[in-house]
Amino acid sequence: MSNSKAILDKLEFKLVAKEFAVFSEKRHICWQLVQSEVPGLPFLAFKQRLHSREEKSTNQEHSREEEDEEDDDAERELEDDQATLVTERCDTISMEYHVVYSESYQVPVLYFNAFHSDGKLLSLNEIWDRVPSLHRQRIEHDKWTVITQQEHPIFGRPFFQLHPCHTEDLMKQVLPNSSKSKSNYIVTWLSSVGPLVGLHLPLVFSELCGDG
Amino acid sequence: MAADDREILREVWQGKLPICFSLADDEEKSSSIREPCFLLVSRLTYITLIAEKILKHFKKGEELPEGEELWFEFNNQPLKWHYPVGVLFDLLTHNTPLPWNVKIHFKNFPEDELLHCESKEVVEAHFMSSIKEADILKHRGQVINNMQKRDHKQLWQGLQNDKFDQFWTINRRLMERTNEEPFRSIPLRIYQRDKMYIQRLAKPVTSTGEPLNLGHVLKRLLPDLFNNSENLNNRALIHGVEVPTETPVQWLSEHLSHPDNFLHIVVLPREAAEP
Repeated sequence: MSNSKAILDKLEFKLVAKEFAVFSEKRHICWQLVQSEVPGLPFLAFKQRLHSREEKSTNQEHSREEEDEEDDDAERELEDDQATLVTERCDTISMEYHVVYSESYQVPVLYFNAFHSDGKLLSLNEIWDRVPSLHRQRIEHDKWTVITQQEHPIFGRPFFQLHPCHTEDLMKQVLPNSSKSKSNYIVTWLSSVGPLVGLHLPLVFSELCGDG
Repeated sequence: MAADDREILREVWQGKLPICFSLADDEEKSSSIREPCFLLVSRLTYITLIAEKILKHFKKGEELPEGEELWFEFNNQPLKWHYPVGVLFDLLTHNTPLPWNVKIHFKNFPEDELLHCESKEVVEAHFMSSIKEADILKHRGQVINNMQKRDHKQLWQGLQNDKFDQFWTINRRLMERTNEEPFRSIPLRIYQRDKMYIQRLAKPVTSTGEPLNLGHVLKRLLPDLFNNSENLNNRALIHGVEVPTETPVQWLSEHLSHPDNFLHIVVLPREAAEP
């Protein structure tokens, strides 16, 4: 398998996805390879729960205009007319991620959904607010095209998607140049784009990459 | 492109549907006008692009309260705004008489079924994304990537403003063959009721350069439905018309694509499709 190709054909995707899933199972990390109704097009699935980063408490001493100074990210100001309210919002966000192959772009695509603890879907704005600021600056100008809501290609339900049009260029930069070093396309790709949407591959996945 | 073929582009562009929009029964009566709203809507547009007209009629132009979002429904099915209007009609109405009766909702947005559409920018992003994907399939993205941003804008504005020339001045470049070669792959989606649409790679020619037609594509992508050469049980509609299956897909792509540069093909069982 060519290690340094920035795109994958269908067979190559199946192979790296299988390698990823098998490794994942051995390490008890819950990525699963799921066979879809579409023959020959499996996808990878993962779930996790995150505590809301909007956890914020204001008390009577602070005016409602004041930002939380300890936090680097620009938090949205709570519209809170009652200065006496303790607004400590602890919300557990349930995240679901799918890695689905795109025949058009010849790359894997990250689809995901995020639900509040009351079952309500996060809005695109709320998703965007959770993108770490260091990534946000980089893609601010393309904001509404990088993360969009799409119809899931297999299930037809609304999912958020990281747009695949930049993946090939990204992979050209991050894949190892040397054909001697082994890599797993999905590990390299997910470790670059996953953090935008709360997905952090455990360090142990680096065993699938490195100099051979 | 031959003059006759150019005429087809214009005919396709002018396809319209008479739609009667009325407030859903469970919508609060007091804050909205109850009279239905009749509009002639382009087959090629996205239904949320007429939101302004709808709000003007039913809400007297007032802004919707927080938590409410306009959505459309037919036969208890929420309408997927990101499919072109003509596709929704061909797929869902099976010979109900015109005008098409569509219900308007403002409350209880079904977010497990419909994409949100809070602004025109969402529709634009979706439209441009389809165009880009189509060009990746046809030309490896070389034509779209070599266009200026203002050319992209012109495509969107041509669609929004219903201006054939404004749109096709730019779009004809996306329909050109590079070096006389057919498209690398034909952008197409096949719709059936109660199923997610099918989108697969579809080459316009065989490995020996023989042109492939619609029948070949349907047989390959829907083998269970199109396994006999007579296609007696199902038919394929494009812009509401049953297209002869001998038509080369390259030609179909160049002439019968929607403005998003995709061929949207609706496959229906024959008994449902006939009057």
